[in-house]
Amino acid sequence: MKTDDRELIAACLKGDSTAFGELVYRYQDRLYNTILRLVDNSEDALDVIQDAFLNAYQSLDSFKGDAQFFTWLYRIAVNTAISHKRKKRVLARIVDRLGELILEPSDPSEFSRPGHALEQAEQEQMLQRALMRLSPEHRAVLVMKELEGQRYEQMAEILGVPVGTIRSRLHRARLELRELLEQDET
Amino acid sequence: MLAASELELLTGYVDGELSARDRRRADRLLRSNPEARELLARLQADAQALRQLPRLPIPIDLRQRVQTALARQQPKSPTLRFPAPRRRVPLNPWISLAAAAAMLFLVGLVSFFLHTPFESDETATPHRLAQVAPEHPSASSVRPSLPLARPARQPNSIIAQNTPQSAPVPSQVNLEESLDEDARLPELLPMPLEEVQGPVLTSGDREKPAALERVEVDLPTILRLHQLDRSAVEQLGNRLRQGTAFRIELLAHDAAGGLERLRAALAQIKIQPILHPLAAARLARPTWRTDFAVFVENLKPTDVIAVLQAVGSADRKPEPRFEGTLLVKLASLWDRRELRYLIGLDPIQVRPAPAIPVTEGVDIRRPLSDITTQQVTNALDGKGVPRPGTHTGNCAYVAPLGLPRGNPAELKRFLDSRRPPQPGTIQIMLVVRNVGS
Repeated sequence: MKTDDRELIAACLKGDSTAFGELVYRYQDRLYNTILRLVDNSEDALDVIQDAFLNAYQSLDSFKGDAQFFTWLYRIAVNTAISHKRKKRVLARIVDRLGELILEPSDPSEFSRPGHALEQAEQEQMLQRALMRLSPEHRAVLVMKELEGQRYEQMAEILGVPVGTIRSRLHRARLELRELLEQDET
Repeated sequence: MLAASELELLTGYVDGELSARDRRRADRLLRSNPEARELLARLQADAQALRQLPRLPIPIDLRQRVQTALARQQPKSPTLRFPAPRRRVPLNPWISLAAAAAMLFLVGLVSFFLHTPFESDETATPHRLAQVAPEHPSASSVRPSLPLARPARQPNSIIAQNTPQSAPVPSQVNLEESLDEDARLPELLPMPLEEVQGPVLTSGDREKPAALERVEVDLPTILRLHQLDRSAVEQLGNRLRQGTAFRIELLAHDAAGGLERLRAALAQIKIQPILHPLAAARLARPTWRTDFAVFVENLKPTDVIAVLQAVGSADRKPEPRFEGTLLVKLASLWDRRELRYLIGLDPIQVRPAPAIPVTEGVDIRRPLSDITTQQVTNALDGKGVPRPGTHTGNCAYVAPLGLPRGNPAELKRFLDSRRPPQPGTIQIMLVVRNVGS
């Protein structure tokens, strides 16, 4: 854990308003990239991250400091995202019928991406779509493995499941993703 | 066909987490089996593609939002920008014991009241709490023979009956869970606690009801595309007169085929939509499932109805392209955001300004400037802006949903051809969406 993280946490516990803001600022970008791939769109990702920060703040005193603050925060955020996704899955069909469940553009603020090949962007969309069709648990392990480079043990600790479960989830997730991409390609 | 254990070896190989022994087994498998090699290559390519997904900056700084949310959790401390985090104070074992004893006593007291015959006829005294009691998770655990609510002159029991404290086995009472249930209670009450007559068991601010927020939700009007009879048309017309910008979803078995029907119907009212190149490419390859958005403006509600009726009648059997569900709703902020993504600007907010009327005193004999002369010449030649008198006052743009829009010349052409808003007209975002067959 970075010394300054610990100092900021200590300041938060004393009621320093700016210290937690600094922690939010420090980790929001990194969390966003992971959570965006776990939920359907940017709005949900922002909500999940906000909830994660609020939960972290409320439990700040229980943070032991034996792990990195980001790891602890990451665990809260990933689990929030998975439970958020599980809840949304129930509504997804209805919402989809109403035409509201639309894949979020990867960067709505940006008007064009000069030099970025159309085909590549299309492939990204295809991959993102396939990713979204996986179950929240399968998607989470894939994202954690490939985007964050986590190892089985780390993922097991974050998700609170045995290592064997992580291995089998990753196995199924990879094969399922392959199948979905093949369906899309044909 | 690879065995399950072989598949596991391959995915483990991609994970990079095989033991030395399994790694050797995987190597042997890959040397001997071309199918395994091919699958491994594909799995590795997928992993690589995932790793290459772009890293995006967070679109907004969350500090303000988090700060506001935290401040909202403690409305009584306006001066405290961030409320102090919750601290867990370790309880003295004697205090815990005393609390448990107090809880036991409370449960006993409540049970006594619950089981004491009551003089008044409870069924004849309807109580609001009784109506919501089944919604409370704890209420379902209450035996049916127990009265679910009491008249207002026994308010203590009102709270007790709706909380786990009324559980019959005191040893199972969990203090923390009980408090959590208490915290949720105000959300389930049909009226603010202040309205309950008489003393109420509370332990401070936790029981205060959360402030209710009024949320306006525009529910879509759902119609059948193939059955736009007189009453449906009337309903649709009324809906389209409720605003100036709408989103209309047309669910399709084949969105590309459906879009062709929609374009044909638009052509009947002299609208030739401009196609994003990717939309044109996808129409040429209809096997690729694509959802399309068509943005049209300066349409009268009657025009929209006519278009939808034309689509509906053209789409009858034997080859219907549309599933038939038609959803109409006011364009939301989300829709406008999506339009902004497709078009590069929010066309509902940004509209061409009306032409400045010619002011009196302009000398019509004065020669035109070179630029104006060129513009007039182009217009007469059919380049750039349309020839005077040929423009119908509305234009449309088709783009594939969710795909990169780029900045093609077609988009510029569409933006150039937009016209100022006409009175009594509306803007429509038509979405032709695949829903499978």
